Amino acid sequence: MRKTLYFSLLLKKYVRALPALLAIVLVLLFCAFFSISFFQQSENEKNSKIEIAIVGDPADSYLSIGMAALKNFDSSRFAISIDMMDEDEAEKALLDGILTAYIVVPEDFVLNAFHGDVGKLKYVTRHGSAMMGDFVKEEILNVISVILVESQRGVYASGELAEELIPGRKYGEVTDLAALEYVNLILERNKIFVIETVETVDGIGMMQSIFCGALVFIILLFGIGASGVLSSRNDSLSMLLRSGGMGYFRQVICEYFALFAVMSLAFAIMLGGAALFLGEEISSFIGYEMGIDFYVSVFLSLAVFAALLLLVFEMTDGIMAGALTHFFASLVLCYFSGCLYPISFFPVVLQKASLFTPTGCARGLLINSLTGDEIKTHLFILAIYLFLFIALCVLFRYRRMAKGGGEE
Amino acid sequence: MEIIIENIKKKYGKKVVLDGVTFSARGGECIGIVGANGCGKSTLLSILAGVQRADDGSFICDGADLFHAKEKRRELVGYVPQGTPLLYELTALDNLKLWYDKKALSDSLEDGMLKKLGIDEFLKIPVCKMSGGMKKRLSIGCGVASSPEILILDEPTAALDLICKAQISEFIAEHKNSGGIVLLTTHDESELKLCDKIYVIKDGKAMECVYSGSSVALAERF
Repeated sequence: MRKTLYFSLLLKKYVRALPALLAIVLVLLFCAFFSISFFQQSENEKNSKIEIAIVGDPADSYLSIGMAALKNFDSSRFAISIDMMDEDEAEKALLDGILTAYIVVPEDFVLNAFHGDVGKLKYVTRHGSAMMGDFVKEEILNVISVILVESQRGVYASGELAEELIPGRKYGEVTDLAALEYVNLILERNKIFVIETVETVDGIGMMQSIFCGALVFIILLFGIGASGVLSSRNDSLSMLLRSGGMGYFRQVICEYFALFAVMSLAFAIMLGGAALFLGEEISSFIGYEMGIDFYVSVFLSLAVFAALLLLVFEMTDGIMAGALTHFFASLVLCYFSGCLYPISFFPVVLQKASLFTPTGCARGLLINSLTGDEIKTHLFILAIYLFLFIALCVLFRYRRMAKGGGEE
Repeated sequence: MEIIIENIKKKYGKKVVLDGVTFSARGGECIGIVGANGCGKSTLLSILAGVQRADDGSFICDGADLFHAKEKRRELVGYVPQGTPLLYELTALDNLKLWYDKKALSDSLEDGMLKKLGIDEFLKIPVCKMSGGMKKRLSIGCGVASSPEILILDEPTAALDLICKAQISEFIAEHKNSGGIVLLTTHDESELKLCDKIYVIKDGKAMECVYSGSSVALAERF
């Protein structure tokens, strides 16, 4: 009877932390959302082409060869799309935002370069794209330097030598063809490698791994919002409850369930909102449908982390000590379990050990509940952690009270 | 009613805190436990209240050892620890609900112990906004919910103003007069005057002494 009353009064007490919990989980979810959006945008930008135009004489055979080289070469590097245009057309496209920049190649630029007289290319861009300037200029000039000047110089030198030694034949045409073949076959680097996406150590993609890791971090850290109510630990009340027949185990159990209930409520509100408004985006981002198993796994993880939070405040004194301990414990646990940093970059021993940390196990549980893989092992380990944290809470309280509850 | 506290021993690690504390009390008596800070007064009271376990000894009440008869101990003993055993974020009424059932609470507020303590005046105030006196009265209110015959009070008037001290002293006197037993630790002269017997705890042992009205003379025994 008293247990139920104590639980309901604790619920009333902990509900006061609800606004703080909601605020923190909201901030963390926003941070995660923007981080993931930024990550996704970076991924998209990686696949989008930078549009560059070359302004020059289309009849110039050297420039045509150079253009072919650039087009072939860029697909394996920074994905620059290069087109031939006249200057007016290029300027209009630049102002319309179609082009990032255009490059004006002076007449006989390549021919002069063969003779060591390298002229100046004019690089035209907008203010908004200025930051791309150095990057693009470096890329273009490298390509021109390597392909158009160095490589082609070798090809044409061979042609001229042949024409000199064996007169009367159309070595010029043959050299042009040889140069084009060279560019097409040798320099077209995208034909000599294949792109393969390496999977993470958990057998899922990077996106799912990041998503589940971030979620574990949020579930673990947002409990810091309850620091205010958790730090007002009352040893005298514990003593009175024990004197009245309610032992430390029952007290801790009541406190745990009240805390878990309030944290679940806060997280359910936020997760529900996120699922309602961003459910499709999140699913398309992670590539899996978030089913009931996934949501159950989230709350199972929350159950373990609520016990850990209670333990932290049982071991520490005061709001600052408790909040800081929880914050740093969350950072360390999440870092070494691959929630903040890809676990595949750690030594194999650490990777395996991380699977047995509460955060690593929670992350594994979330991932497997997304992919539909086995979760029994994760549940078993998390259950052990749950009992361990609660047992430690009881032990710490017992030890403190046995020494007079800090009030002797 | 008579209680006999016999040979209570308690160690914290290697440190002996209580080394065979023995005394007795009859109904209508108030026993004062005094001693220097850290001498084991609060430990003794928390052992008698069932918060801590004694390494040895017994707490006999009318032939029953209350260390083993836990239900009887809860029925007979009311305990008010030194601190504030309350949920700070909640109101006085919420705190009382933890210890009283509905009927007992309304009866007590109407014409019982809670009314005498004046708790009915601040039922809706959250504990965090209460004065020290209010908190102490509410703590006592919570500690005596089972209408115990043996009242254990750990420094009940520490850091309270004169009015609150007077209210609590009146409450103690009333409990005594109704045939109950009061065990209290104190440093307060006005409370010592209420005591029928005073025991000084020194080197883990309890020695009975007579209070002559001079706290200086009493302190020399510590």
